[in-house]
Amino acid sequence: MILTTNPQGPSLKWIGRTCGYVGRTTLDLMGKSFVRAAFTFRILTLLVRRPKNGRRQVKRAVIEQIYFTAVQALPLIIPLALLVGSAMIIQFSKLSGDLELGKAAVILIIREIGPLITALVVILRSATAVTAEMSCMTVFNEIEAMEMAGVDPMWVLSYSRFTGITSAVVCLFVVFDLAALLGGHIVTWVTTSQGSNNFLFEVARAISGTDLVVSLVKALLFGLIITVVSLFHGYTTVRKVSRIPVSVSQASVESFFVCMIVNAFVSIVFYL
Amino acid sequence: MSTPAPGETDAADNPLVQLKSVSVNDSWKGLSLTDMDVTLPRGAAVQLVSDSPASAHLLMRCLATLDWPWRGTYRFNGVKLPFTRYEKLLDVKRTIGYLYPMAAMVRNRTVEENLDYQANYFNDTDIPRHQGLKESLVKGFGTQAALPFCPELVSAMEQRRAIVVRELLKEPTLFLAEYPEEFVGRGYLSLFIGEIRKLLSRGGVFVYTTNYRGLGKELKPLTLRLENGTLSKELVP
Repeated sequence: MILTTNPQGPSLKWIGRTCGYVGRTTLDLMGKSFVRAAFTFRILTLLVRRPKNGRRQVKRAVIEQIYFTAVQALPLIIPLALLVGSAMIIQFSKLSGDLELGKAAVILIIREIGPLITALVVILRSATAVTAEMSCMTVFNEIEAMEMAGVDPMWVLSYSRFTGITSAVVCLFVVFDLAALLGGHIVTWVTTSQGSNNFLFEVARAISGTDLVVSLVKALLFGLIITVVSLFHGYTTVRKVSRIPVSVSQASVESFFVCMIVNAFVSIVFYL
Repeated sequence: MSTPAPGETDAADNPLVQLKSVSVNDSWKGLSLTDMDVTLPRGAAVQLVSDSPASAHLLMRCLATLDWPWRGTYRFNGVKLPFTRYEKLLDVKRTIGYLYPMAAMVRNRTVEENLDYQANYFNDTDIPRHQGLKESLVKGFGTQAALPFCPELVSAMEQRRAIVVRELLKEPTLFLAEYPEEFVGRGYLSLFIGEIRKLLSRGGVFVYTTNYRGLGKELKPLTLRLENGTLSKELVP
């Protein structure tokens, strides 16, 4: 009624503003997605190329990243995995008695919790560190300094972090699963009437090749997501020191959120 | 004799830098420089004079290929620079020394690692020559004590002198310097001028802005005037 009688009315203005907002937001989201996709593609292309120069520096940077992300995280992830594995099995044994504990361990730990908690640990420890470091390097012109020396930052900074973090996530995921299963095994042995090897036997029987492949795919994708999101936010930090914490916060939240979505997507594709 | 690649000619016959109708802007500051034509001959010292230090900084960044022109052509060593992908400019950047107020060193490396970074990165570096040059420059500019430390742990002046050493170690063909007297201080200015003379004698170009008149007396530069967002006249050899 208002639309037909009063074309300049408040309702029409509201609709116009809302449509404008939705349109702008959609275009903005699409633009951001395309930029991220292009950046991801750019990083992935590095995997099939070799650096023209500076192979020693790139190698050193990769080893440093694997050390910082994987080796230094071990004292954190092993106790965490033991605790998570034990807690899961305690809860599930209350629910199901002593039956199917191995199957529960496979479903809960190897398929879902393992990759997610590994990703969470890497996000908390490394994604934040990488974003903060890259942001500082951007804001304080260190990346420009590297470029002015003819050094390609994509090789020395991005490639090294990509390979370091992705391989770290995969390795930490394997360690997490083994430690969590060990925790579950100890709990089963102490608190239930099952024999000491029963739990591990059930796990071995329940686990399939698909479980291993899917979990590794998840770990690889999580590594890619965490690296790309952290580097992207680091490189695009606006020239202000006050934007560094904002970038770190955005990168960690975005990394975790995208990992959750990918986790759900992969699980649906393979198990539904 | 090898055939020059398309777009290349004999380098010695060409001016080192040639800008034709170049326009560049800094969207952050809302600054723009338009339709700049300039030819910088080999072996020339050029003083850039501008009412606005920000405009001079923008032109210097454009010359250093850090800010890309949105119009016009930039020929370096006779070759038209492709402002399409940053990787294609890295080989040019490698031959440009640039001192600017925000110049930085990589913080998670020591000062010495920063000085050696470029030399170790490229396979074609003559390492013994680099080491000899490094030793003499480090000694000359008094930065020996800073070498084992990260840049944050040395004084601001030592860090700036170390940046000067790093840029000179590149043996650049184009050396850009914004207020170099603030990097080296009066105490090391004569040594710096000596190094610049060596660069000019090699056919390099030195472009600088300064508040110190002594630099002009020493180098007898050509003047490049930046007014109202463009260059007021073209320099010719």
